[in-house]
Amino acid sequence: MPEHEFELYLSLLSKFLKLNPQQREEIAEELRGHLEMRLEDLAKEGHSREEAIRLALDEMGDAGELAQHFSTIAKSRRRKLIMRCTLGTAVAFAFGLVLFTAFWNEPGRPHEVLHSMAQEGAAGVSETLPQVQNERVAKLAEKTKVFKSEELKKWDAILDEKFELDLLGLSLQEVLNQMATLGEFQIVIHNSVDEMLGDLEGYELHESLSGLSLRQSLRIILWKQQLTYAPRDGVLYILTMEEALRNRDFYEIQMYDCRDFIVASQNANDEPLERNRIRGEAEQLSEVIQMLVGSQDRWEIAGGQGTIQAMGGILIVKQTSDYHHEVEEFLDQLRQPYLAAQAKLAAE
Amino acid sequence: MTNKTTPDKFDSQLMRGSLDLMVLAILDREAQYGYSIQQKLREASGEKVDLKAGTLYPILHRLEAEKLIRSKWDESSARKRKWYELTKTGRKRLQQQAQTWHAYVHCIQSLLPPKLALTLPAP
Repeated sequence: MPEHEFELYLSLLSKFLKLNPQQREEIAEELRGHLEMRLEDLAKEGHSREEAIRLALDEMGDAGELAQHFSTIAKSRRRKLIMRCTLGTAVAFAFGLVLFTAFWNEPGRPHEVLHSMAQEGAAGVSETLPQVQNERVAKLAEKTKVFKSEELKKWDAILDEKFELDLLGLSLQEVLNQMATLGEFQIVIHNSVDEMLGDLEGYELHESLSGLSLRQSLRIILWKQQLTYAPRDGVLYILTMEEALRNRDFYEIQMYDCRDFIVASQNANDEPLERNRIRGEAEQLSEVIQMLVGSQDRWEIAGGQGTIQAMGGILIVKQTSDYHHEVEEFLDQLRQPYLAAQAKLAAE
Repeated sequence: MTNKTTPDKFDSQLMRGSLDLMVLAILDREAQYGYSIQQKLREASGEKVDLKAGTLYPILHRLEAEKLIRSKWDESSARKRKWYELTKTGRKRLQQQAQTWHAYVHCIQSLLPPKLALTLPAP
């Protein structure tokens, strides 16, 4: 029989646990079992029900402290896993690259076929070669194709614009005002910032930033105070990272088409990949993103709100706008070695 | 506190360094769930070891993270239980810790004045 007091305790504990819902539920389930058994035994020893509940909970100790213990253990476990995976990914990546280059340089392989086709082309089949090459070049796009809302596209254009900013001696508030004027948008300081830092007039800056986009400048000046930005409802919010981590309202969904990348990185022959293989690779890509992009705790695997779902090579990512930008940059960087190999091939 | 009926419990400060060893030793006999580990420790120590649930569960989760024990949910009984058992690494660790423990006891014994060492109370 579930005791109301136990459920209260367990839900309080769950709230403090910085873990994903499944891990939280497992811990609650284990402790619930313990509390119930303890209650039965204490009742058998002659304690009244109230007394038994109190004793059982006393033995469990402070919910916040216990949650802290569990979270720390899970965190150190995760750190080990991440270290292993990061190393594993790097090794696999390097290995893949070596294989890839080795493959393409070997005589008699596809580019050799292209060569022979070129010779044939000279002998009359002149249409074939450019077609084949173009098709191959078109296979891996320069940048990851991202599907995002019109609102966010508009913000991207604003934030990617470059300005000269002379911030020496200005307060954080003044700098933000200056940016809003230059970019012609409105900035709203979220309550969480007031609560953590008070008036932004009190924070003086000592940088001068030139040749940077508004986004890069924002990152630099906000990061030091543990702040970040998020466009919403037509204005740019400045909020604490803590708030960005827990407030669902600032999360957006964007889709990243990684199919061309998966095919290019997995398969030098350009044969159609099996659906299962694409799915597996996309899932692996999601894991790597969650481990390497931004701070871990923004992702659901580590108790945050951000998620990634892979659907047939398209990643559906729920994150805050600043992290979306990092995901996009990361995916674009991943293409670079393959693009280089492709360019080399096209040049031959 | 009714000291007459319940024997004096070991000081938690004293037990701190040997909790892992106690848990591993209990699990060496057979698989157990959290509550039964607590009970076994109580029984085996004549109620002198009273490991609080709030201390026991973090220990179990840490030992599992260190791969010294592993867990499995049993859903066949009316009450879902999480059973723990020793892994191969855990068994090895238990052996090492037991050796260290004997050396430690021996060391303390030889430090004590002969008069006190002889009058150790019966367990």
